[in-house]
Amino acid sequence: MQRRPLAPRADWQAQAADTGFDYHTIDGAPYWDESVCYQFDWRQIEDQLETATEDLHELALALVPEILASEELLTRLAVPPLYWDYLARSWSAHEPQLYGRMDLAYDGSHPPKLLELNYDTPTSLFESGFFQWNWLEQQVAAGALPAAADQFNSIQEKLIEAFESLVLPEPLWFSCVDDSSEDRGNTLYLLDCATQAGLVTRYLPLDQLAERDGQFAGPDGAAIHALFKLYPWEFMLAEEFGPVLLTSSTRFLEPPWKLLLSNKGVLPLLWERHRGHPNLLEAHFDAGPGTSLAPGWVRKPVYSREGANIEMRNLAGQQLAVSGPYTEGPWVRQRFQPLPRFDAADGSPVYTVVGSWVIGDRAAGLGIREDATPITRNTSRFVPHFIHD
Amino acid sequence: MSVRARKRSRSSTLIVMVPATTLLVSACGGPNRVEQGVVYQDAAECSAQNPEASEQCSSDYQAALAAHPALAPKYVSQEECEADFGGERCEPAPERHSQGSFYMPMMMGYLAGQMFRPAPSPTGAGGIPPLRDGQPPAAPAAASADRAQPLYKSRDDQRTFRTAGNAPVAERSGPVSVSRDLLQPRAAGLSRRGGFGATATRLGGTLGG
Repeated sequence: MQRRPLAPRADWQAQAADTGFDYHTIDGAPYWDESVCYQFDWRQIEDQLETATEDLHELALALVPEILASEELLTRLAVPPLYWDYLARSWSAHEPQLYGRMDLAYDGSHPPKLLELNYDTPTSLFESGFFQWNWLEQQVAAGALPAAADQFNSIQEKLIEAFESLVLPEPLWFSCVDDSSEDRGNTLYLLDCATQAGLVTRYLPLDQLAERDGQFAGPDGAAIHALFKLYPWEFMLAEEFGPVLLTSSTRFLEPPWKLLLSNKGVLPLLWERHRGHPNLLEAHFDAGPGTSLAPGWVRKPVYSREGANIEMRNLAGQQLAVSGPYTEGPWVRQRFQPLPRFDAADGSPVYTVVGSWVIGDRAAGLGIREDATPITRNTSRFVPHFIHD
Repeated sequence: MSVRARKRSRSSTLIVMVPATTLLVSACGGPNRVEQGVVYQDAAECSAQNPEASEQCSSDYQAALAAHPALAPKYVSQEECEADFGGERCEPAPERHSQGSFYMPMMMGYLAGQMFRPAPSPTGAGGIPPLRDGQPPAAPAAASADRAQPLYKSRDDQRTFRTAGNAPVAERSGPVSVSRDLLQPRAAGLSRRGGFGATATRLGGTLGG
């Protein structure tokens, strides 16, 4: 695993504009950064990252029925009791999931360690599955990368296969908060893949979703029978339309039971059940802010996103915290795992997280994120990768 | 050395996202029989354009008005109703809830179906187009509630007449071609919008992770 400088394609911004990838720059700072890239060898991809991803996915799925069967665990994960049956029904009906992304601390030699699961509303899908793929093809064609270079990225192929095999009513509607260009880009990419899979698809800004007689409906008043939503389940349960879920017959992607696996409470549950597993970090439920955090631990709310509200104390005892809106517990603490550190051209440190995609229960590819700090956030740069021995 | 299995997709194309703005909601089409109908604001407008059919105009209008309280979309508050239909364009509905009355939009027009076909006016202005089967216009049939229904106009689009189910019907009065589905009035039920997204508004930014 090496970080290498590489000249960006001259027209990459035009290509981004053509595909609606308008969030390649966030608040004036580059988000998509192809002035560098990561190189993995085949052993790292196939023996370590791919294997660890599928192993961890299996362990996570095995937790779902156990949590659903235990009021104590549902309570520890702060799942509202009103929806316990709703979640359990979606699991027992085998409502299919589509995708997820797990974030791994990986340095190229030691076993990858699970930092967290993004199993409900994972993003960076378009840049991982499409834009990164084109980068590789074009850089190989231009001779800038070896002809034998490959990429761990069958994301789009597996998405289309997954949509082909999903048994869902049509049209399949796609919805997100429309004024977030990143969320919209990710949602439209999925809509595109579903359309390529032959499904009848429609897009609906989330604030246009209506309720009528206990059913979700579109702008023309017609019932919506199947809905992909890039919107967190824990928000939906807490909002005005939450109770409509209990009367509606709408099928959702991700299905309701995925709420459990996007909850960071799964980290201590996994550790309790598989203590010492090479891909897991020690984790426990935690009393939360205001209590002391020992050196070498990281505290996170069970419901949080984009690195918000994470409090970190490294082995030297130095403290780092990211503020954010997720101020309600419960909390977990996880053993601090130093991220691999690389040096940018100007000598400043770069910390790297490997996002590993799971589509249809299979490891499907990678998206690498870099940050100048050890906490990866929504502004962390996305950097492409290739495989070559 | 054995040949390695490729780790990346064989191809990668986009069909909807290129160019970025073309897609989105194509109208829900489908093979749907088209029928002739007429749209008017009220009986007076209908009679002015079809003087020989003023009795029919009146009975269709009354039929739509009678169906309006049952078909109109209902809101738990006047504010919610006006958010969709505009200020002073809502009225109390017959139903009541624990905190007071439901509200519904006022009827802004009506749609009458195929059986409503008076003879073209002598001047030829504003009349009904010739029938497709070439038969002479029949005498107006008796009005009945199931072939005249109320129409509404949303706050953000004051031109378009819409059914209680929010389906657009016409942008001006007169004859229209509508899908047969639309001629079957359906109640809008208790309708609400925007019940998801509040947390996003509160937190701002992007919600994926």
